[in-house]
Amino acid sequence: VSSVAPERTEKGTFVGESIPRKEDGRLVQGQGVFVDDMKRHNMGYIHFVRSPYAHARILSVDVGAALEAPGVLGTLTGDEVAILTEPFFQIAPPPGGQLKDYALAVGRARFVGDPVAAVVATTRELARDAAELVEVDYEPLPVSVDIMKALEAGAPLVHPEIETRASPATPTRR
Amino acid sequence: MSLSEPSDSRSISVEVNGQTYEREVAARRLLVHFLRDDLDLTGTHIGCDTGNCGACTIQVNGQAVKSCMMLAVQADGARLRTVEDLASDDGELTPLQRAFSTHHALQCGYCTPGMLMSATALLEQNPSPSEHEVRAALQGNICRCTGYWNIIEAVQAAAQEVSAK
Repeated sequence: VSSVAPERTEKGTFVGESIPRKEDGRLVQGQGVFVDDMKRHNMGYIHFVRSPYAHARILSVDVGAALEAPGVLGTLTGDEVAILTEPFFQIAPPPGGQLKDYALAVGRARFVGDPVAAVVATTRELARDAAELVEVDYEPLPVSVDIMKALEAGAPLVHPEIETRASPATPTRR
Repeated sequence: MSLSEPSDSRSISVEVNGQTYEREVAARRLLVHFLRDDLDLTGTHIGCDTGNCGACTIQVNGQAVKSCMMLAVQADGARLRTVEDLASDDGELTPLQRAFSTHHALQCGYCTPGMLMSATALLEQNPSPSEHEVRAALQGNICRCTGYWNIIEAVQAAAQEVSAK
């Protein structure tokens, strides 16, 4: 693997210098070894069941048929994730910092593609097949697709526990 | 086997990075999974598997193609090139690969193989593209880190370096 970065001959202070990145050489050659690139003996493959709605209440998730499907090692739902894990750490100050966000949608899907359930199986294809057997009952909720309208009073909220999505620093519409 | 009997796999022959592979593949297998799982060429990434992000872009007979939008069986008889084939065997980077680093056109590097393959196909067909032409060629590739400016500058810098030679 060649290095993009030239050898540093003098001991610099770093301040005021352009420091070449050490990782570029492998990243531009497809040798990054990201998590998805790793293979382990007997490893399982995950497939996510994702929300077709931009905003919906998740009334029920039935993984019964998926669990019985060939090659399936296990399933996970949002409700289980909420029991098994702590919410993600939030960086934003309140009120944004008060929201509870998990690895799977809990109770509510907030965008098209929001992962609602996960299926793990012995192969990629069996995981995908079994994921199609997961039955999710949604109740579609109002959406807002205009960012300025989304700031207006009464606009549908992504996280109802936070009463507005406008931060104190958000400029108001003139 | 009669013709009416459906088969769920097929034997294919593809040339990948100059090497010919003959493999039995599932009919449903995506080309990107064939490259990554069957041939262990994991430089080609999967960002979405819905054709939106471009991380899986490779060259198929010289054309930039999103390999999650093709089945492996559709590549039968084709000549494929992935990011692993860009640098020479002794690790000498292409001007484009070098320019990506010197212009800070990558940060996490996840979209980079797709960007490089789209830009490589562009430069082969158009050795000195305008900024607009670079943008048009890369419109199918999404990057969340670098904001595109540096990527466009890198592609144009590589084009200039090659044409100056």
